[in-house]
Amino acid sequence: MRIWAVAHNTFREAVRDRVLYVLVFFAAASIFGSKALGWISIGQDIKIMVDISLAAISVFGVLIAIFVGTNLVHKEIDKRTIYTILCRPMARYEFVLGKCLGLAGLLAVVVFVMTAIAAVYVFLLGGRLTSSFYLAALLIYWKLLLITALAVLLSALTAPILGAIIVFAAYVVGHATNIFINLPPQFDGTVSKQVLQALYYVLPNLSHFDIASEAANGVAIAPSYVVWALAYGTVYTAMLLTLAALAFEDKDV
Amino acid sequence: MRGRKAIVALLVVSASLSLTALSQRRLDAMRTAAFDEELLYLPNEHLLDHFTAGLSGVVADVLWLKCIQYTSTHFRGDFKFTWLDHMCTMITRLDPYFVDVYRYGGIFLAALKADDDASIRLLKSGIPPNPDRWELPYEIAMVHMVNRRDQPGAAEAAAAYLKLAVATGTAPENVAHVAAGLQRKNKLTDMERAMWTDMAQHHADKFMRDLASRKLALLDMRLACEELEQAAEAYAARTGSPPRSLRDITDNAERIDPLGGTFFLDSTGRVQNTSLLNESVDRALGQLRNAVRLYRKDAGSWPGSLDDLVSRQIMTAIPKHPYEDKSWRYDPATGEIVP
Amino acid sequence: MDAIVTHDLTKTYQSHVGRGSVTSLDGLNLAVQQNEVFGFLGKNGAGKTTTIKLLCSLLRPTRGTASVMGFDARSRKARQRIGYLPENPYFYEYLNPRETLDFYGQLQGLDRSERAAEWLKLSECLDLATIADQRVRGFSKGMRQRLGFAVALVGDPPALILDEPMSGLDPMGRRMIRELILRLRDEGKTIFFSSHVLGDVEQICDRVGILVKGKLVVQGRIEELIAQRFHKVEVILHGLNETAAAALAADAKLARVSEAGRHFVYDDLDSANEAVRAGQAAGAKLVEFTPVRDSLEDYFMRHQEIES
Repeated sequence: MRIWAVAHNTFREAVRDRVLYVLVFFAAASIFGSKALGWISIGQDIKIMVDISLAAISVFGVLIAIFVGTNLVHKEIDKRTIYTILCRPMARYEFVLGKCLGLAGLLAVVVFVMTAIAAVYVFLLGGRLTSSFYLAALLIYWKLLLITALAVLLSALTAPILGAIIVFAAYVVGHATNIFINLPPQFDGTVSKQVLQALYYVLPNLSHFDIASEAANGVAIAPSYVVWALAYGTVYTAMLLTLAALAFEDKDV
Repeated sequence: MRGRKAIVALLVVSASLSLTALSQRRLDAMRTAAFDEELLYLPNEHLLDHFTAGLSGVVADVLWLKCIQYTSTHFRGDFKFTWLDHMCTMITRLDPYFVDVYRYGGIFLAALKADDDASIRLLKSGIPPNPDRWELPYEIAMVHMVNRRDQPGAAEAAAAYLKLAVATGTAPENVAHVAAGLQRKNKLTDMERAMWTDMAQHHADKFMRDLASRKLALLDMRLACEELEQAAEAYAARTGSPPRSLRDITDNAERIDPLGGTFFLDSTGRVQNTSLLNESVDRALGQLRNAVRLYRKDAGSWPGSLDDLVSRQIMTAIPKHPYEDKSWRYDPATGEIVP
Repeated sequence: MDAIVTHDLTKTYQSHVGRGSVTSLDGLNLAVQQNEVFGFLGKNGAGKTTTIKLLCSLLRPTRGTASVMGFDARSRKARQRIGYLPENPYFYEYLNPRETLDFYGQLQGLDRSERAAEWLKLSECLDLATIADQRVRGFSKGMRQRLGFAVALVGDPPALILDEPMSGLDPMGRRMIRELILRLRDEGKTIFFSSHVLGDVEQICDRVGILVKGKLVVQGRIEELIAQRFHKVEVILHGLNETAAAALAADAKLARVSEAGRHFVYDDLDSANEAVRAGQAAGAKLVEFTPVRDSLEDYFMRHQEIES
């Protein structure tokens, strides 16, 4: 019940953050503006709209996860609302989980709204969306959960600006990790190859959550792929949350 | 207390990463099964994919739009499409399911740049990730039928690819008709005319309709030339010597060529049309330019003369200049060929 | 059982830049008895807030232990029994007092009916009914303090730990807080609060502790502490001639002239009595003989000087 109280409160507070609305506005603007790009194509306008919609959900979702996420814990420490909460008879991990849950709820609403806007817009323009589109949005949401967990972990360890930079870097690198296992032949047998391969398994591989290409081109997705991707995200996110709870356990405020 | 926490953290991390490694291997297996391993080795195109942070679809779209603009600009301008092949390859690396790029890229390469090798290569690269799309084998068949119609085995190759297209199970009816027509050995020109007419009338985009109209005009030119040829032969049979000028065999000496060219008799008495010859020139020029570039990549410098292309076995023979009174002018300093 | 006990409680901060460490609190041995009002005194930066944070498990001690109502201060059972009011409390600006107390009630583990009962009790006790539905954003300092007190009292904890509860309040506000503290003590609660305003402490505390540069220098009942020390005596004599006055002034701590006569302040009773005899012998009349007690402020200042 305590976790829920913190989550509910976090959600309410995040909803009041003006940054949120600015980002959602720009995301919606991108979605509506994507039609303009379609005009200079030779019939690929629906594909372009789907691409841009999913990209907007992903990018702006990450920005929200980073800025609202890293900010939230730090605003608490900064404004000392956290003092009166942590002195309560609740475990510290309950606080961390509550915060994450609140943010997860916020992101769910944001992703849902943006997906709905995109779907309605495409439908109004005569396009058809396959289930791959909705699955793509779901996987993007799962990716955002992972990023949020990372943001919360870092906010327990470092200053908000540094945390935001690290999370953003992790987002960019996370999409490029495939490069570590597709090395050109001159790397065979070297120590660097083994190190990079180990890194591949340690760093989060965010490209597993990226099925935008399939969604935009109407290619079907195997359900088992989605299941495995969700499993991957769940385990990794759970790991990050556990680390965040541990980090917060003895943190001085 | 610190130590205990560190141990717990370590245990959690190692357990989690083992599980995630497991799922990663599964996911990777599912993904790469769709692709030809070899295709993943091209350096620059593949790198671009890694650094677009999950926005590869959008980047592909933007590049495709630039590609379209590039094509239409040069279509109206100097008719040189140097980077078309490379751009299409890059875009399809970023978004392998982007069928339109293979398709239209293939059409542009074959119809505008007259580079049927590049066209077929591009189209073929699209088949492994999109095995159930009829458009790709269909377009390969078209390239054979249109660009390579003079080569032996073109009709057979076209028929084989059309069969592939029909086998995907998603091809529209007229594709099956075209395949059946080829089986019955209908004239290739009729097939071609049907295809271009369809595109000229029904395609949603003006650029494509214009392209198709142009191709139809060229087709008509070819037929007109053939007619005039037959009239010339009849004249020769009648009079015992070949006609000296077009007026001998026809009243409409200045046959109107919608593309602005003219009909004439060459020194051997054959009927020629400048628009058609220009098209042949473009095609041969494309092949020569590709060969010259390949030579430079291979040897590190421009070839001293066009014959070097043959001695280095990049081309089996230098294509003859379609205009009998002209020849290729090659500048070894810049690698430029002028028709 | 003492309400709050610390044993060698120490907090050292490591400086990241490598300039060594800062010891904020050094070996604190504190004992606060049940049902008393304990004032924790010290200059700004002496370590009062650090102590309070350690008691409320907001910080981890570098060394030593702390316990509240018999439980280790970092345990959940201890936190169940503490009501904490931070200095300049912040709450979620967009909530109103009703929602705020409901939220903290949830964190305390109260169910819906219990939370409703708490609201009725606390809003009456701290006069929150009139502002029950206004957002905290627009509250004055006094209103925030009242709300903060209410939050600290949610769940009826037996021990209250207050950090500078009267800072920034006007005299009306300070009086309200003073009366509230005394009332809570009468109800059986233990109140531990920190302050650097000695007048407030003097008025309501049963016992005090003085913290100087992280170390607790004294601890005990005010009267006992002050009584140990100097007994200044003021003597007023009327009709003293110049030479006699000069002689008496030589032994006095202070000497001045007023309408009433000549004032002399002596450090102890004996020298004061001696001066009276000498003055009367010289023909002056004794107007006043007053023991001047040290104020807590003097006592406090003296300790600052001793430590520095």
